[in-house]
Amino acid sequence: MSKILSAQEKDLLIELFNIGIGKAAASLGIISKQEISVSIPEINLILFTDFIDSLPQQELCCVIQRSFGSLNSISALIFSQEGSFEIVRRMLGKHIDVSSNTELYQDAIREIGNIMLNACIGSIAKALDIRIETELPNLQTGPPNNMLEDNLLQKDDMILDVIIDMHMVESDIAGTIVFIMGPFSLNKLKQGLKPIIKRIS
Amino acid sequence: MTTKTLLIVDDSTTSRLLIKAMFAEIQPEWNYLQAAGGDEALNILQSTPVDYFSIDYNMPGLSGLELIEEVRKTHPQSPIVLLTANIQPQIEEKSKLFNSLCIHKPLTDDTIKQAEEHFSHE
Repeated sequence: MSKILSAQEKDLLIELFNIGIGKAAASLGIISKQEISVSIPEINLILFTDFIDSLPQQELCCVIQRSFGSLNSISALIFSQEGSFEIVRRMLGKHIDVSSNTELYQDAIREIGNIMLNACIGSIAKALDIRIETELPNLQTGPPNNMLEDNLLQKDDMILDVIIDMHMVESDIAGTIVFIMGPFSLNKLKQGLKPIIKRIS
Repeated sequence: MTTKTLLIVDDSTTSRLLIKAMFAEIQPEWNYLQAAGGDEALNILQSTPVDYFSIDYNMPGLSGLELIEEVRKTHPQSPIVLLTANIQPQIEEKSKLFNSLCIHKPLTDDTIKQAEEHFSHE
């Protein structure tokens, strides 16, 4: 990792993602009507296949969104399927009952992913003064091995992943936001950090 | 006073239902129309009078901003709210160019009230 990112770059990246996840957690707090605690972002340089293996071995619900423009990345919001139902129920509350409507549940969790991932990506773009476009989110459910399989990366690709764990205090539901970048995007990200590092050096 | 009509344009069914439910709590007398995208919204406008617009930014086909540009050709003065999960300032700046109010998702009772006031001060 030290060859890829200097200590200062890594520190700054963690701070940027901290700001981003703060916005995303605030959005989830509004949606789920409860306090959200978040972990310090963890940055790893690993094989894509190892990343998949590191996910919880259970049925998961994953909203995936690709970003392009000044930064190409894949971001994902991951909950257990059970947890995702609870979040949707809390989001819609008295307004809409999704208990017997799978299509509406999927639509709702996709929209929650859209809101949270955009909040995070948008705040990073603001901090770096760059423009990041996002595609429409898509939803994948199932065990980890089935997930992310249709995405850009091969199993033996080396990736930079940024993992942030969230915890909904009242409902005791855990979720994870993941950002995955290939080497080219990492270099672009490092370029974006340069002006900030220059300012603070 | 004539009954006002709000057209809600969002590709997410859940969002449309939620937006309608939240507005209906404070404006139960309004008519609410829904469209899942820009083309459907423009089709509705050909046959139905609409007073206010709630338009999502990130949609397949026409984006929210592209739709607003089209709507402005026939509804130059109508109050429009652009709803977006994307908090980048460029979106807000472009929204202002079309004289529409940019509101960030997720919606709260406060932001719905803000949108309702924008509509009511036409």
